[in-house]
Amino acid sequence: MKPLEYKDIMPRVALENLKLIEVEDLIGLIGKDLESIRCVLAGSPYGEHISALSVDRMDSVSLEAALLQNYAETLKKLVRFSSGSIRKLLLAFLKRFEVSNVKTLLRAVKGKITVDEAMRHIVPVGFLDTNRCRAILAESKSIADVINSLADLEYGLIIKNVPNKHKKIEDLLQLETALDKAIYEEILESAERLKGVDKKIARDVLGIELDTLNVRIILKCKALGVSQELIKDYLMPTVLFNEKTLEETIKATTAKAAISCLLIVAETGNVVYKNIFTQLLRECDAPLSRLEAILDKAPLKMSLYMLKEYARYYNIGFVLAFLNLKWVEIKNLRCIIKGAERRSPPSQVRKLLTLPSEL
Amino acid sequence: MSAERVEVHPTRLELLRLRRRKALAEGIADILQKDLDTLIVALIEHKQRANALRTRLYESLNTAYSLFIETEMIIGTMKAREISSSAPLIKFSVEVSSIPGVLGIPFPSFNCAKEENAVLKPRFNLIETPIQLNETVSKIEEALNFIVKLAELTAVIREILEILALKRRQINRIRFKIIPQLDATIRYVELILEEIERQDAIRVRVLQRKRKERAVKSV
Repeated sequence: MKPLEYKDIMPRVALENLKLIEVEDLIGLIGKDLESIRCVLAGSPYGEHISALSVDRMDSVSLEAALLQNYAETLKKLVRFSSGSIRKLLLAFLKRFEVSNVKTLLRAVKGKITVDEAMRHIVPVGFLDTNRCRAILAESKSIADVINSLADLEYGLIIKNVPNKHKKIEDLLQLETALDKAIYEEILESAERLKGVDKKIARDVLGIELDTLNVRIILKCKALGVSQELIKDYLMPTVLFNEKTLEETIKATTAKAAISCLLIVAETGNVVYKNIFTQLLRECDAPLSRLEAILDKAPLKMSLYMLKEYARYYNIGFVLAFLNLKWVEIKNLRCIIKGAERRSPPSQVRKLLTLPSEL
Repeated sequence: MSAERVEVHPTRLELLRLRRRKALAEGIADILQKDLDTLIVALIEHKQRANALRTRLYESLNTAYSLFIETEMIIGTMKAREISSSAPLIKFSVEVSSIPGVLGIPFPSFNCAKEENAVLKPRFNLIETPIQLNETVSKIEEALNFIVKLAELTAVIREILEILALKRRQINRIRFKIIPQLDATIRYVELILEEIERQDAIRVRVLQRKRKERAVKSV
């Protein structure tokens, strides 16, 4: 932990943190129509991006794009005000958007989505700006063309090696998994470069994200009947739950046995791990969607726990907590917007929200 | 309306033949009526099954749409759209055959055949998609099976309705054409025979009178 590294970024994070929408205001949006939500958001920190949208073409996709654009811009702003290892970690976070754009390019070509439609799904970040993405989409007729167009970027190299290994270039899942693995490895590496408490906090916050992702993958694959050997190919880098533990979990015959296996290891971690996996074990007979919802909340729970555990300023915990809170806010807004567009019952929308006050 | 009669020789033998034909026609009409009743029962049963299946289809589709909306709410419209349109396609085909149905009539049978992959693989990104998307797919597959079965029932109902119409036409033809025709012919033959009988009786009486007169003269 170097206080000097935080002198510029901390005030910026504190400022951005103050801009987060209050939970009561967020809940107040449930049940409103799309236009009312747009008006409320126009007066919020998202106003700049929402106002840029054409009122004639106002739908959930454009609102969602504006929210994601705002998140990417906020992240870019934090990168500008950061330095050293923190900057590297934030840059790795920003690369998630680039990876998301690469996946969108691949899916658009595979799914034969028109260039204009696909461009609505792109959040221009880093090397993959609007012009580059448009050019790739216009020129690519197949997955191989997209891979060749990205040859000068690290993502191009990552996905170029996948078809050779799996001999089936059309299987996007392998390409997407390779990209996800690479980006998470980079984020973990960036976290490892931090020192002292920062390293511990980052490792715990990012670790629980990866561990819960792996648990989600295993539970889902088991529910779908995917073979044990194949499940291993889809796993992300491991942190607290090492490969041996995950292998035992994969071999478990029931969800209860699998979660029990994980709880033994989770008890060696901090209290958040223990709480999450105890709750999972308690509700192991519930539908998988409920278990996924519990696992989804883990990174935010860990971030908030780290805020309580360590001093508020001059550590990475505050930055990571803000990023998680902001991401959860965007996910909640997205959920409310879609619910409004589809006229879903407020109870259904409310059920799918992740509210920090309820954690 | 008087029915047309059949051109026959008005003989006693022909009358017997006509009566036999009428009895046979009435028997056939009765058998056809029983078939018609059986077909109507089968039609009602199939209609009830189709209604039940249609209700289950709507339930499946409603659940599927609700789950897909939840998916969109969790991962966003954009992701849901691009993931759905780029996912590997599931290939289905409908196998058509026929099975013996009510009264031995061959009924069409449709079966939804899904091409199973040798290795079961996930279709969607495992970390980006919620389980609701997979549940949507399984509900849609279920709905597709219901649609195929509903198509089969509709085809069977159409088949039954066609046969019902045919049987109804046959019964009507027998009851309102053939039997009245036979009745008219029988009445005609009976009248002719009665007329011949009367003429014969008069002829006998005349002959008897002439015989008596000849006997008186000879005495």
